Amino acid sequence: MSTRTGAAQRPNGSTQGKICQFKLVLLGESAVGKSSLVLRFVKGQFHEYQESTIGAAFLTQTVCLDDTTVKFEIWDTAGQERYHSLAPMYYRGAQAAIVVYDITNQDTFGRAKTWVKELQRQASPTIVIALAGNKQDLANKRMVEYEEAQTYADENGLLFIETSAKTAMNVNDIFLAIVDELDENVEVPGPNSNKLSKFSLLNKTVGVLSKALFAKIVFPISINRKDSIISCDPSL
Amino acid sequence: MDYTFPEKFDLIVVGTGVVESMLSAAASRVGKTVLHIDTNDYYGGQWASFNLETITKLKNDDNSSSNVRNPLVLEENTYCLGNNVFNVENVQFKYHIPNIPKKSDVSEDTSNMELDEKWSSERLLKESRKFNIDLAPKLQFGRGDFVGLLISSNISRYAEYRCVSRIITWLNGKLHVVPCSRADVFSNTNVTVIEKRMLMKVLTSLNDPEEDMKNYENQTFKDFLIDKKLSPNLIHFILYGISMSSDETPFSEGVGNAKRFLNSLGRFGKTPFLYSMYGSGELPQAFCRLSAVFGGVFALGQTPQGIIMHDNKFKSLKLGSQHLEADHLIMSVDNSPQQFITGVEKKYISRAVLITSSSMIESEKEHLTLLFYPPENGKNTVTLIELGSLTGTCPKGLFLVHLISRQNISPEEDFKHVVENLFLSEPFETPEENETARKPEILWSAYFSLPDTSESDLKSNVPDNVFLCPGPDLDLDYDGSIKMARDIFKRMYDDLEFLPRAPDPEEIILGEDEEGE
Repeated sequence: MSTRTGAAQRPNGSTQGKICQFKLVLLGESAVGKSSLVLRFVKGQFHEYQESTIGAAFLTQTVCLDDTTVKFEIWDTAGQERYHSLAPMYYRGAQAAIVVYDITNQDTFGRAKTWVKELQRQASPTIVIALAGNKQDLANKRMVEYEEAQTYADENGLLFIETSAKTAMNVNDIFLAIVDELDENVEVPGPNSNKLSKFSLLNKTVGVLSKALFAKIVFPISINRKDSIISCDPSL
Repeated sequence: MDYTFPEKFDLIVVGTGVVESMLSAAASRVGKTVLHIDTNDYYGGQWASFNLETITKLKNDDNSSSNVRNPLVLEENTYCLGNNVFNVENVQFKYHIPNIPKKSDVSEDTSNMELDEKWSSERLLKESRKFNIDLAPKLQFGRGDFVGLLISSNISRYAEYRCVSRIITWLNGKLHVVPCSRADVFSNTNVTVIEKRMLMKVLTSLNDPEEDMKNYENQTFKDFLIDKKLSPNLIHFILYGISMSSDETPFSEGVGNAKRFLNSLGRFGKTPFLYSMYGSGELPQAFCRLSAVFGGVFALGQTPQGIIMHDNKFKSLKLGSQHLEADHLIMSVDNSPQQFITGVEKKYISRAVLITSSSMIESEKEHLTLLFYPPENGKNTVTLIELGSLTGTCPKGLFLVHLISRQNISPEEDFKHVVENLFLSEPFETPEENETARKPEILWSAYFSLPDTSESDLKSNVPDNVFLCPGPDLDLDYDGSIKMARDIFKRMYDDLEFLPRAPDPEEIILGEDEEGE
């Protein structure tokens, strides 16, 4: 999945503000609240006994900031982290990651550090990584000190926030902090149309985008049938 | 194995190759409970992609029984997994460059040093993670079954593609770009105007179902092209380029190949082919991801002690201290117990991978190139795929060249003529000589043999509820794998649909049951 970035275009060509789409992946040990954070952010819900999400490749949430519309494509691990079997494909092309741990469980903080290392080695060098200390509502059972996590985050250039999917504390904030950071990270592409085209085989309509301000552009070059649209990214 | 798994599944899958992964996804998708494991700690088995460091994990099985971890039969009715028949063999790696960067003794101009820095093995290994080296490189026909399946099942969202941007061939000791679309034909400067007309006419007639071609039933495709009074160059382009055939290819097969090629033109780019970014090893992962999204349980790096049979049927898998039961067992053929594959013929695909310093045909724009090297002096057709950094399989400024052929003698022997004609194995003494040769320099090479099990009998000695999945075949696309996966799926779940469309994110309704309370 690529970032689709650009200005929404009306038929007469006038622009309407930017639209960006980002792939964000969640990482972290089982049961730290990854899915709960997404559910809180996307649906504003919390379930005490959250079952694994079945059938969702990823969830989407759109956020409007000033004149920019940001569409998050949020990927959950689908349980593949459980027996240490998360595929490298999972974080390919991700612009952002939230590494989640449970503040009441020191082991999950250790695992979070391993995930950060893995992302630094394997993922895109410009990926924005946020560390989320979840279950802040259980601060009385805290095993990971705030300062310890903050220091680690500072040393590794990570965003850091403690969250509670249960009370909704800081959940929206962490996503918005990522948007801010992404805004700074992305570079403005030059005209480089003589590069090899990159395709996503999508089966839904993608709006016509142009005049991108961000790093990657995807626009449909041809529409064959209702169910298949081919988008082409000339900037990569 | 410090894990505890649930003890009962509908299906257990061992191996994460393309066919196994499609079946895992298909079963999970229709609600079956699936345990999917691999003995390796990576996805893909013989379909995997590696970086420059991890590919050295591939080793020859010097001791022919090393893959059989235990004696063949542990106890009565318990079979060991793994065999010594279907392994990657003849594995060789070589650096063609010095270990450490040579001190530049010529260059006094320091401003140029950065650009001129020579590649060394040390420098290549620093970039190791930028490589994604396929064991089994594949291209997809734009209108082929595989792309169709990716789109119809909604798995397409997991992968990104690059289009093959040119097809070339070897003719009269030179590389030529094959004109394959109408625009190409007319912009090609090597083809005369009259040839252009003839070529268009033949291409059109091949695509026309009305055209009467019955007269050629017992002849070769080449006979047909000669009868069409095409020039030798055009015959070469159509025979070796567009229809990927040889002099002996029967007419019907040659026409079929050409049609498959022509049908996929114009959907995505200038050629009919797509290549998955970050390597072909991404695709099994995409199917595994779908399987996981629909509840499949995944565990890599697992070593089952064996499978337990009852009444000549698979009963359970012994993993750690657990006995995991399932109605069906699917295994990649390299995981198959010896007992299930007795008498299966051994065949191999010759493979080579080269890291080169430049493209076979230099160009301002980075190309993704496909080359069909025609049969020569008793050697088989060699398919070459040249990938640049835009495919996410090698660092900027380098190219990854895959060579694929039906194995005749050994990978090195089978590719010797191609490598000599197209590349420089040893750099010349002086830069001037290199310049005049104008061939890409080989920095690193790998040779190996992949077992070809696509035509093997994987049914006769296998229990009813066990299915063996073949490894990679010689076909460019995954058509054979899809057919095999569909066939096995039908044998297991006759009444269910194979990979129906997965819902879009917008269609997922969460917490529905709660709302009802």
